[in-house]
Amino acid sequence: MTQLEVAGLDKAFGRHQVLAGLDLDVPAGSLTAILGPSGSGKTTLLRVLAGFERADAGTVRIGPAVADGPGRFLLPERRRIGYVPQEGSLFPHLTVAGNVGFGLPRRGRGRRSGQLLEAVGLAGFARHYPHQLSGGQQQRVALARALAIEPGIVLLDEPFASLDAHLRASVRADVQQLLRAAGTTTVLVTHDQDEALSTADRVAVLRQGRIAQCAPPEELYRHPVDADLAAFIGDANLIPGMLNGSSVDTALGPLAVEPADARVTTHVPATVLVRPEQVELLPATPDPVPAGVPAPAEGPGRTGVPARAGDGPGLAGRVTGSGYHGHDTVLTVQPAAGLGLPPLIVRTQGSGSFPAGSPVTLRAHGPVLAWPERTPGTPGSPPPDPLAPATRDHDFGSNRFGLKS
Amino acid sequence: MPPGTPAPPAVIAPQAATPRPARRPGRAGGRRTQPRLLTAAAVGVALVLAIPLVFLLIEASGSGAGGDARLIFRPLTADLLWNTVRLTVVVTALCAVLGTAAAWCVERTRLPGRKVWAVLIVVPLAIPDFVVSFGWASLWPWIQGFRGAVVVMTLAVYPLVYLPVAASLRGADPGQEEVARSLGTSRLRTFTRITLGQARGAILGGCLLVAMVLLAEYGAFEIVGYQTFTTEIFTEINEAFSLPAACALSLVLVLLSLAVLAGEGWARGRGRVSRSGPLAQRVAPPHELGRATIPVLAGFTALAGLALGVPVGASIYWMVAGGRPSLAGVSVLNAAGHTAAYGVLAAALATLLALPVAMSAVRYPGRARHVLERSTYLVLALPGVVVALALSYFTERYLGGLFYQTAPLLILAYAIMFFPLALVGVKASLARAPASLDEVARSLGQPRLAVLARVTLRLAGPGLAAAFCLVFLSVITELTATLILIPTGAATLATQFWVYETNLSYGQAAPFALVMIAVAAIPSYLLGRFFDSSARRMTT
Amino acid sequence: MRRWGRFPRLPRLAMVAAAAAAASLGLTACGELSGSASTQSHLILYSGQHPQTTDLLVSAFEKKTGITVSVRSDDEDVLADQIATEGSHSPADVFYTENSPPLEYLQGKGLLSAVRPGTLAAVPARYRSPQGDWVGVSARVSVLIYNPALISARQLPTSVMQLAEPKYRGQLALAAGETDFQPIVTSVLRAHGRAATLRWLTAIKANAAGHIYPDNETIASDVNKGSAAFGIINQYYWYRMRAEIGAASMHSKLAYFAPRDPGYVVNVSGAAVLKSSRQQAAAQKFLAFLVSRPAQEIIGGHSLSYEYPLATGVTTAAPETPFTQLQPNPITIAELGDGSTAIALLRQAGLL
Repeated sequence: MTQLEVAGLDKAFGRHQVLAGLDLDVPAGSLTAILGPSGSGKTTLLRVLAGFERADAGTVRIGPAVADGPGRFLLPERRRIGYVPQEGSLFPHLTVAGNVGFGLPRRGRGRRSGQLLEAVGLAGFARHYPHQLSGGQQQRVALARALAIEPGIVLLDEPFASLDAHLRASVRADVQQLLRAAGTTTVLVTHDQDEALSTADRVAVLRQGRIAQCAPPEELYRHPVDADLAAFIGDANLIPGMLNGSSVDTALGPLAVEPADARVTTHVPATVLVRPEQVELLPATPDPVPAGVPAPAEGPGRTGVPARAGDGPGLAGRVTGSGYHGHDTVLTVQPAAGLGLPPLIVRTQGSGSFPAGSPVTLRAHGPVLAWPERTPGTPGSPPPDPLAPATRDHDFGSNRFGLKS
Repeated sequence: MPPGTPAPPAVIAPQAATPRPARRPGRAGGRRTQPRLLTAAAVGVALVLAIPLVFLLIEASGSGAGGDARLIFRPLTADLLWNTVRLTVVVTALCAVLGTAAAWCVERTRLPGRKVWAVLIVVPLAIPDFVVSFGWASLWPWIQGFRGAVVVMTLAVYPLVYLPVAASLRGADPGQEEVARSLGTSRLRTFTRITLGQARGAILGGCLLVAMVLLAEYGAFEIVGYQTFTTEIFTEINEAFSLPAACALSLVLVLLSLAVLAGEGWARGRGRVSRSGPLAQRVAPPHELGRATIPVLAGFTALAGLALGVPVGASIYWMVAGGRPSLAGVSVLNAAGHTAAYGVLAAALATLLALPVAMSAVRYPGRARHVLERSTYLVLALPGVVVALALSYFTERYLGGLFYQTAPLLILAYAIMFFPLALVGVKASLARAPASLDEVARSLGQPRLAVLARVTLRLAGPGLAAAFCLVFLSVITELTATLILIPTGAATLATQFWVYETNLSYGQAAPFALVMIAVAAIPSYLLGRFFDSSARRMTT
Repeated sequence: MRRWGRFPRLPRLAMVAAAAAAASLGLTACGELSGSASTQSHLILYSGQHPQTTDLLVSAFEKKTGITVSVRSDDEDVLADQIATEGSHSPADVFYTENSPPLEYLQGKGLLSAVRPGTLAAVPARYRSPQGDWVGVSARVSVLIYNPALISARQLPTSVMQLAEPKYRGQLALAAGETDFQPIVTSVLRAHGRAATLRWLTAIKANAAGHIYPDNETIASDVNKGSAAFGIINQYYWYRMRAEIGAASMHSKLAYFAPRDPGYVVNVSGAAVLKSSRQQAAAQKFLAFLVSRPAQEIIGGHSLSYEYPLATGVTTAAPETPFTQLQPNPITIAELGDGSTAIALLRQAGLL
């Protein structure tokens, strides 16, 4: 069980600074996912950890030893790190058994690779060649190969990217089980949020060359440190609001805020995060109620969610799109014009209730997160990224419609 | 979904089960820094290859800029320029067509006897150009001038286009063709736009080699009486003792080859013809020829007959009909032994030198490395005599004559002269040994040398062998540099052939020609088998 | 089903076997790795002369003196360039040529040693270096070769100047780059001056269009085959061709220019000792041998070189016009020089 510590890591290629002062702690035996969009430097980070690139500044500690630091550099072949690049990278000129046993000394090689192949469920495939295997099988062989040398740390670079969707879940589960059983510290790099959130013990989000937040998945989802991160993890509706102590006034009405920021007592403009599952859809009332006017309390809507005291009145809108996912439906609703709100994403059960074009009423249920809007440059606001596109719709691997591209 | 096309706009549909297109290496996340040792090795090799160019500059500057200008801007120069350019253009075009057509027929159709044709097509590379023209000129004297030069050279060098195109067609992604057909493109358009487009890099690479070889050719043109820059360079050296003049003309050759390089780079364009997805993928199913089988077979027979049959036939004729021997012979076996030994050692050296340059160019793309790699092609356009004199000059000047006229220097001269042939082959072979596999091997605890032996060379092996064979074939037929640098008293098949041929002892010359062809047949066979076996492996 | 990775079994073994064979050959070639060096009993000869002649002379010399000789054969001009480039580290001891200009060229660069007086005396004074740096060994004369089926003896030019006449257009074969042609140009230059020579050359170029060849051998064989009507060669090429292909295949004849015509030139083939040689004594012995009676008789009789031996008192046994009966132009070696002016003119005329 080896732990990994990265402090102040810098890496640039030419004039392009890929990693800038990156800090990361990976506890021994855990499975940490590094999540980030394409081009954010995830693979570079992995390569620095594995020793294929040398950091420009900062330290990498593997266990007690310094692998990369000022005046010290441990060669990749000495680090005992298992590395599984994208698409497995099996040696095409060796059999499956030859691949798995590649890093082992000659004696006992056959026995040990046999054991490992059994562990990954490919016992009869020892004499096959890589091109005779399916994608999922190749990934498992790659994993077995990496585990054969009994590494302290295993690095996986988008290991499930090239698999069919329905396979992905099962292979993921198998891999997770295998790694936990071996107790190996694992770092998994991906741009698929689903994967990160469902597989890992901790998720570190890589943004602009550093880790924006590193936390268990639930913590990351519920308490992202800023609005950008909120938009990145899962779907998010970010709407403007006026912060007022422990509640915030929005177009969806006043909502409870957590954690309550007791210092803010006066009205302060803020960005409010409302997750799609917090928005309730009701059929449109004949008299759409404009924002800010308390409406008479209504009975339970079709969705069966009882109205709660303190929740805001409805906001009028029109359904502009819907996507059926089996377990739920994701709807896009365009709020009434003139309020300056972007289309909102809503999750509901059942699909037939709100076909495209139907008028609806929106209601939100707190508590929500709110970040006071500060001018860029003041402490606490997300650092401005001059290269970021002007809009909020970053290509973070998912779009507003909840589909992964 | 065809790889590389952007995802369609968000469609309201369940998540489709399409595989994610693979990321291309070298883009975000895949960048690598080149290890210093590799840089040093690549630069070192490029410097060695620059020796002839430096020599040219030194010698040409010896006669002063004015003298050079007078030598270069003579009335004859315009004739030579026209001769050289039109020959290069015509022969390159013919070779491109011939080589590509032959490659397509062998690789992509159910041509009967494909394996045999694959070997027969390559063997003409083994026949020295001067033997080819000797064969044609002695049997049909009207093969003269421009027409003669075109016929002789096309039949002699088209394999330089065939080899890379065949390899490319074999490894190409059939998915693109299928998509094109599904979009309603006719078969012909699919062929011209997709198939040829995929092979474009290989075709251009082959044409580059052909053009360079044409610029440097001498012996064949002498026999058919066609004057080019290179024959003129030889005249300067041979008749006029004017090394400065010869070097000034060689500089013009270098400029011409720079133009050829630039042209090929421009024609290649910036598009990538890479193959997406994992390495081991399926191969295109072969086309049926149907009614075209007979004509195609006839074409191949004619090609083999002209390219192989004429030189071999002429040699046999002269061996039988030649007059009594008037020269005490160096035994054929002795000359063959020297030839084979020089060939093997020079091919090994050239391949070894090509490795760092190829690895640098393929794995760490970058502008400076690209220029470095391209600069090494220039030497292919220089006549062998210039390379030899350059080495002689430098050993005289800086080594006090040490190594001069020794086998190692001769082998080095060969390696320099034919380096670009090795480079092309090694570059192609490295495509099978991506850097990511090396890294995985290192992560599994193997030190760098072990990685080289267990992974890189094993995967690139067949391609390296092909590069080796290509250089070996060229060394067998090399004449002019050998005459200058060979240790006194030693002889190769080429030098002996030349001695007999220029002294009208055709009867004694012919056996040497035949043995040259026989010795060269082995690597030709191996080249053909390499290409064939890797195809079979893919379809298992 | 694949076994050992890439190659199917058989060609792989073939490759291994071939590599092993080549390696062992390489080891034997290693014997030359240190390069050949001349020792007390070993000379290195750079020869531009025809190997038939050289081989016979060399083996006779070796038998007589026990000094072994390694021969390097190439075009005499390439060898001259090579020697000049090699400079003081040249491995060559003796330089043996077909014509005098390369020797004069090296002499002008000061690369030749003085020949022993005894050797020089064996040959008439007009057939050796004016400075005494090289000695003539044999001679040839420029003649016309013609195909009687295409042109009759009467129609042939009697003077080389007549080659410029328009009536010979398309009939003339020319090897402008051949070292044997330059002395003729020098001779014409001496007789008629620069301007006339240039006009003459330009006209010749027009007459020979389509029949410009690299060397005399090709002229001889093409005239014999009937591709061209006539050309200028050195006489011995005709005899050697006849020896190679047989009298029955000869369809050409020889004719001489008018006596003392500028085109009627004697070319001297000679040898010299290089100043850089470390075997001066042995090299001088070789030169002395070349002009000695046994060697000269080889040249005149048995070597099939068909050249004229130059040593006083030796006559040729070959069936050709005896040397003494020739009436060549009286141009001297010194006047022939190193041929640079001729080359400049050839360049100007666009023939070179």
